[in-house]
Amino acid sequence: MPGANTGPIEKVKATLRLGEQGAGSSAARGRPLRTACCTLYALDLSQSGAPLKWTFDPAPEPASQGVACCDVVNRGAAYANGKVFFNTLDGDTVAVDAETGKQVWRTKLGDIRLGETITMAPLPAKDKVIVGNSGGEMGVRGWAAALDQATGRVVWKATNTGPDKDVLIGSEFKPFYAQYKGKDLGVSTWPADMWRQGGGSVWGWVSYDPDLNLVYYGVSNPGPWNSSLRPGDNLWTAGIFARDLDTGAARWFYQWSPHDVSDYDGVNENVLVDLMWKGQPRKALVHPDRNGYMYVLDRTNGEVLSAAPYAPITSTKGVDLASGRLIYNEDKRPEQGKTITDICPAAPGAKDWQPSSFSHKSGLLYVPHNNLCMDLTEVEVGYIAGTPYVGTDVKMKAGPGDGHRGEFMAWDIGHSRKIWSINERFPVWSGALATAGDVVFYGTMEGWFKAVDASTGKLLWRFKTSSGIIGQPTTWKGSDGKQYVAILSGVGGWSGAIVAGDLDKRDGTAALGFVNAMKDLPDVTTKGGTLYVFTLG
Amino acid sequence: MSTHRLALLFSLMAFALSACDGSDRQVKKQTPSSETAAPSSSDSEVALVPLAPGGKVPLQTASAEGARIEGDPEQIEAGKQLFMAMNCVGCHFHGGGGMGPPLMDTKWIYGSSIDNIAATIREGRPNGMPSFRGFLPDEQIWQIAAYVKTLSAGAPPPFATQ
Repeated sequence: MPGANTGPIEKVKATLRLGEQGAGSSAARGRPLRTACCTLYALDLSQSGAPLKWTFDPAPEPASQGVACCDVVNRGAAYANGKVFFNTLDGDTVAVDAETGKQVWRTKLGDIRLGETITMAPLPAKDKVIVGNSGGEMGVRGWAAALDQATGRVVWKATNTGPDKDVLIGSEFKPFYAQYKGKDLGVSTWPADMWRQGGGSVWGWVSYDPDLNLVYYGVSNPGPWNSSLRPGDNLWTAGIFARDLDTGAARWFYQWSPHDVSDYDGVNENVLVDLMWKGQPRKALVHPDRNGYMYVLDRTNGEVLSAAPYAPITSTKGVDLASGRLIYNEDKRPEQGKTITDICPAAPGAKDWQPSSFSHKSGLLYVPHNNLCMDLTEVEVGYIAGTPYVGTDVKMKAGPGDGHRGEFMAWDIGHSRKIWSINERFPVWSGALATAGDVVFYGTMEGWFKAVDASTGKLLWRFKTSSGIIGQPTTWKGSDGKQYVAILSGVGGWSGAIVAGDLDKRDGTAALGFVNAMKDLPDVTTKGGTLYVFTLG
Repeated sequence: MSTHRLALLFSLMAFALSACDGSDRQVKKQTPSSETAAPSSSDSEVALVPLAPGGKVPLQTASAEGARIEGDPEQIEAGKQLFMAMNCVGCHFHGGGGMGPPLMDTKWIYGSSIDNIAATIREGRPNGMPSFRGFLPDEQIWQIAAYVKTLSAGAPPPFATQ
């Protein structure tokens, strides 16, 4: 990240209104025949006001909105080698010429009739681009795939449930812990055939280590949410895979939440950092999981070096570092037909998809996250392809404290402790951005775009955007030598579905129970997307 | 939950699972209650708008089947069980909405009559509502429609945990 920028931020340099589309999110409920999310826009940053250079509308099948679990979203596009890669809600990966905006190739990967969508941001790595499906609430069978950047050809595709040959587990697979060793565990850790609808999708972030030539990605929750229906560890869900970029062969796996009972998808970002750990240099991987623990793993072999709680937790009691297993709190284990109260974290986790940011300067990890707990009742559910496969009534609420549902914190990885934390009224659903100027940016669901001091968390500057922020800040150095920072404002996503989808707050179970915790969001923000670009002074 | 209700639920599950394996045509043949299914949708003609050319109101005919089922507590209860078993609840929850729009408010995108609601379930709608034609017998579609209609009557959501 360029530039020193502790000074005041100048004024808005460019904006782009995006209709109802916000932060990769589009609220299209009740708008017949409207194109589903999301259009790709190219702005010419070399010109005053950053005019539109081209737009690309992939025109996904509007019916795909009916199988997108948690608002109609897209987590971003990625650039490499002259092309922009992004995914469509109806299950395609598209490559667009960055200069002209013309489609280079388009590959169909997901089938909405099976409940599959694609919402994640692709990761270009070497000559490939890595993508994965969404649909952990729809009984999909999750997978990740590598496509050839030049042609869109599928080089490999690995499922996250089922027999080893599908999961691409072979002789190179050397997991650190014993529970991952054995034949076809993606079948035997499920009741008969339930792995076929077992979820385990890949809708979060992919990381790549060019030296090890490994890609890392987290796997979502098992399906259905109703855990009583699927006894067993439900491999390979709610964990992380390390795979060879070129072949897809699994190298190691670790399961954050064996037999997940709380919708703790394992898809949060994996931050690759080299650090000194107890006096030894380690190639580490840092992962703030939804289950509330900040994991530090050795990314060469999947060994857990540390798993420290970073938010209030009642669902579990800790992680046994000898076995690598999460220790459940039996008092909070769900049962069919019985309401279990005050499970913390709630289903979206202590932290959801919103990516944190590591500063090489301060050595701290800046983490946007949640303060949410839930009451949960498991109910009967049957699998019907293309419909939700959940079987749980949830009502979320604020976690411990004064009713605040979000936090933004600085975390010291080496000492496993919080350095500072800022309480926010709503879940902090935007990404974080740490700059070399010791300034950290994030947005709030009320619409404030904030800059805080990296070492103290002191508020340095804030700007009220037109809608709640669930986008990710980004920064760059312009051809004029100035540093810019941009944010897409526009509320939505699972947490913002109450506004984006005009949901009815009288039913707290709405939107998988998130509405219960967000009843006051419509009082403070409205939907609508706008891109803001600022210069730093 | 009564034994009767549970049995109903499980038979629906089995139906749903077997139905997923076949094409729509096969499903219709396998439908256990298709022989007893009530009159098809063809006896109702529904409009989605109050406008018609010539300054008139749109021509429509209400279904006798809809009128029979609407407001009948037993049929509504059957519709409620189907609403859960067919996973309608996974999108609309207990009326507040999620993937699908809320059903407990007074906004009806595709019309508020039981004929409109049944048509929406039967035919699907462009932004994600699947078509249940051929998957459910028409009588069950009417039952779900009858239940959905009650959700907007201002009643507190059923099954909601406190």
